[in-house]
Amino acid sequence: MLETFQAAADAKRRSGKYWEIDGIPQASQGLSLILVGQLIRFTDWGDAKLHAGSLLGLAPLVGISLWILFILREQRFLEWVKARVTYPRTGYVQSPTSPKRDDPESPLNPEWTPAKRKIAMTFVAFAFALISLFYLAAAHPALTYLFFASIGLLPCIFGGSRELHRSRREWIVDGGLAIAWITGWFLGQQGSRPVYALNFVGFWLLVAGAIQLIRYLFTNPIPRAKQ
Amino acid sequence: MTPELQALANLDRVIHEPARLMIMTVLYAVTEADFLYLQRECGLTQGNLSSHLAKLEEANYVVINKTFKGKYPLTICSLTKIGRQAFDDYVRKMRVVSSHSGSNGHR
Repeated sequence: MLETFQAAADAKRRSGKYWEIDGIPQASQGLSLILVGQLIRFTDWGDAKLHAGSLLGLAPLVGISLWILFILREQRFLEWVKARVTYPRTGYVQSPTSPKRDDPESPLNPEWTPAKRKIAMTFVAFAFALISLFYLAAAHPALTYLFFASIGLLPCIFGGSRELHRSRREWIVDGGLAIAWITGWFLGQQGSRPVYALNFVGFWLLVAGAIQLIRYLFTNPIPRAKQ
Repeated sequence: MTPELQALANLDRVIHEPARLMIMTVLYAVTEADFLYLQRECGLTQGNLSSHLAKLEEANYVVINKTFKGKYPLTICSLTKIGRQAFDDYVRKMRVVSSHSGSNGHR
C-alpha cells in the first residue's frame, strides 16, 4: 500500500513543478532581471554622486518600485500566456505549492510564495552586490567578490528549489546561474558589476527558459481531439 | 472473520477501482486539475476518464466545473471534502490491512 502514498507524493511533486514545465516563468524571470539591470545602467546607480541633489536621484527608486509591481503582476501575465500555450497542450493543474490561478489578491496571500521568494532572492542578490561594491572594493577584489557573490547566490539557488527532488536540468540551470553571476561580476567594471551580473544571470535564465519552451512545444503538440 | 479482513470487505468500492484510485490519488495531491492534465497523468482515454469522473461526481467525491481560460475551455476537477475524507479513510483501511499482512508494506 506504500505505493499509493508514494504515488500521491509523486503527484504532488509533479504538480508543484508543473508551473515551470514550459520554461515560460523562467524566461520571464530572466527578462525581468535584464530589465532591472538595464534600469540600473541607465540611471547610473553605481555612480551615487551623479544625480546627488537632483530628482533624477529618485529614478532608481521609482524604477525598482515599478519592477516590483511587475513581479507582483507577473502571475496574471504568465497565466494569460499559459492559457494559450500550456493548458491546451498538457492541461492545467493547481498545486498547493504553485501560484493561484487568476487571483488578483494573490500577492497578499501568504500562500503566494513564488513572488515573495523572487523578491527576497533579488534583494539578497542586490544587497550582496551593493555591499561588495561600496564597502569591499578596498579589500582584495578578486577573492572578496568571488566569496561574497557565491554566498549571495546561495539563497537564490536553495530558495529556488522547493524540494530536493531536482532534475539534471535544474542543477544545470542553477550551476549556469552561479557561473553567469560570477562571470558577469568579474567582466564588469567597478561601477557596473551589478549590472553585468544581473544581465548575465537574466540572459542565462532567458536562454534556459527559451530552450525549455522550444523542447516543450516540440514534445507536446496540441491534441487534435476535443474533449 | 478477523477485523482486518472485515476492513477489506468494507473498502470503498467507488475508490477501489484502479482507474478511479489513480484519479483520486492525483486529485488528492493537488488543489484542482483539468481534464487534460488528469488524462495525461493517469494515462486514460477521454471516454474512460469521463465515465470514471462521472461516477466519482455521482458519489459526491469530485466536483467538476466547466470554465474558460481565454478561448481554451477548462474542465476543472477537484476533490470535495467528502471525497478527501473518503480517500483518507480508504488509505487508512488499506494501511491497517497492510500492517497486519506481516510485510508492513515493505518488500
